[in-house]
Amino acid sequence: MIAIIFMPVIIYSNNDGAVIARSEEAKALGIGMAVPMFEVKRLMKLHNIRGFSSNYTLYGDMSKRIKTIIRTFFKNVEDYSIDESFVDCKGLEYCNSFDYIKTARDKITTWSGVPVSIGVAETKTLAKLANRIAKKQYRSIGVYIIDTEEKRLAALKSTLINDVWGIGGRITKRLNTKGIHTAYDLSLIDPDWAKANFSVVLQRTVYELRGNLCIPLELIPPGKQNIASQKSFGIYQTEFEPMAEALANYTARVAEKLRRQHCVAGGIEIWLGTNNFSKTDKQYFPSIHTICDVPTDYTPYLIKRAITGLHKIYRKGYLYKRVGVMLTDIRNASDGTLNMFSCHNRQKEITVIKQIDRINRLNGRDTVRFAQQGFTADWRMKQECLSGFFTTRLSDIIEIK
Amino acid sequence: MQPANIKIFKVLKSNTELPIFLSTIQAGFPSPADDYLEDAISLDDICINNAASTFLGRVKGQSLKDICIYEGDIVVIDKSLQPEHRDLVICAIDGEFNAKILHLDALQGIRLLSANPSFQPIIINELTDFRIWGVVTYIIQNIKNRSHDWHY
Repeated sequence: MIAIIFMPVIIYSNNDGAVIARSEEAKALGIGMAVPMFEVKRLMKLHNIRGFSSNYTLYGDMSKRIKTIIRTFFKNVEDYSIDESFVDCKGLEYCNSFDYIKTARDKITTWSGVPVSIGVAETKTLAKLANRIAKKQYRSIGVYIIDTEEKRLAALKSTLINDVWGIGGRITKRLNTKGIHTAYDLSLIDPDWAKANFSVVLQRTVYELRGNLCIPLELIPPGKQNIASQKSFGIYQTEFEPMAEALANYTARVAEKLRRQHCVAGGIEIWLGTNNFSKTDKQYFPSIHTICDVPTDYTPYLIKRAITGLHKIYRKGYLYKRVGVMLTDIRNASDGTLNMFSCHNRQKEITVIKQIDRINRLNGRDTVRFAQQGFTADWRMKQECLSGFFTTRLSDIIEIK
Repeated sequence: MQPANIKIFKVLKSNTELPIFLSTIQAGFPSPADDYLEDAISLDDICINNAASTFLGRVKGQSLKDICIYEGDIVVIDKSLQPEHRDLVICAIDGEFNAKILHLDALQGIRLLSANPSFQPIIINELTDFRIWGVVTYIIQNIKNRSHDWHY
């Protein structure tokens, strides 16, 4: 383990294919975004840049911590993605809102160790713009508030449309041909024209850039959505067995997640996919949904269901790129309906699975695993430079000298 | 010399789900203890004040042996605490995490001390790029495995 404060660091994408994240130090050394790995190898060696595979276990835990801290400062929080949240600042106008937000930002940063920035404005789209300014221009402060008309106009004028939330590359090109280049230009167009010629999404963006709220905070209670896992294989798969092994492992993951939320699943859906980017491969994207006898969180049962489903949809002769699993009909473990004809001994299952979770928590994932999960794992994502699971695995905690 | 006064508590892992009732439905007399159940003591409650800012680390080397912290011990680090004089702090020095005693003194300035005479103190001046990463709050030691080292 190394402490990588102030060092150039880059993170590789799934299967270690390209650069997906860079520290400021690495950006300064000329490492581009989304550049294939073989192109940066030389620069990395030259400047002693450290590279790591994507470590979603670690990022997920850090994200969870940060979101917990955010909730100590703000009441209404929408977890938008692994590294972004929207919060409601209502009520802050009665105190010094800058001081409050600045304190929150500093505490989130020092408590978690992850630098964060906060942008504040009337709408989500403007808040994203403010956040970008906080990150780019006021890095050490980390907070930018658009609270006057002058600030809003300045922010709009200094932002290109492809940096506006929700504006992709294709729309950017089309808008550019119509002479719309900055967010300011975009805010001046007729919203109805935007809807007629583009989409209702662009219309909303125009309104939001003007300061009219269109996209409200979405406060979904966490942990009630479907739980899914899908990953690309390290190499193409053609045979049934390795894919069954991969599927069993993904199922074990989602089942663990389910139990952490104290829920059970009433159904399970699985799917297969070939490489949809290939122009020459035969394409096949089957899926199947099955209902569990009894809503359950018991891994062996879910794996059995998943593999039965895989048998039904698997066909020989395709180059498979991915397999995925999703648990559906998720409900609280306490209100699972029992099946009169079911012979499952629920109490025994709970005891067994709790002990397995405990052993795996203390000794590392899959210390105890189900036979179907196997040991070959040549389907696994390529992650050759994985950093440690510093916060979730006792064997990986940081070394203190 | 006063004898050490040690109270004994029963401890349980914090994620243990506690029964609402001790006794399940039974034909006989219900357990008289049911009305008096309390949550078992959790080690998490003792060692962790702010879970989101708490990290664990494992000690390597002998730099803290004079304060009875040895290789293999687990340190509980809270990043939300403001470091104070004489705190055991974790700092990143030359790409490594180091545990040092933070010494703030009007005459000697800011120094990072080790609890082992064979390590020199590190003096922090304005030019040193130095940041405290967290403050150590608890140490977890496996005493049972170490008892053969004792001269008793």
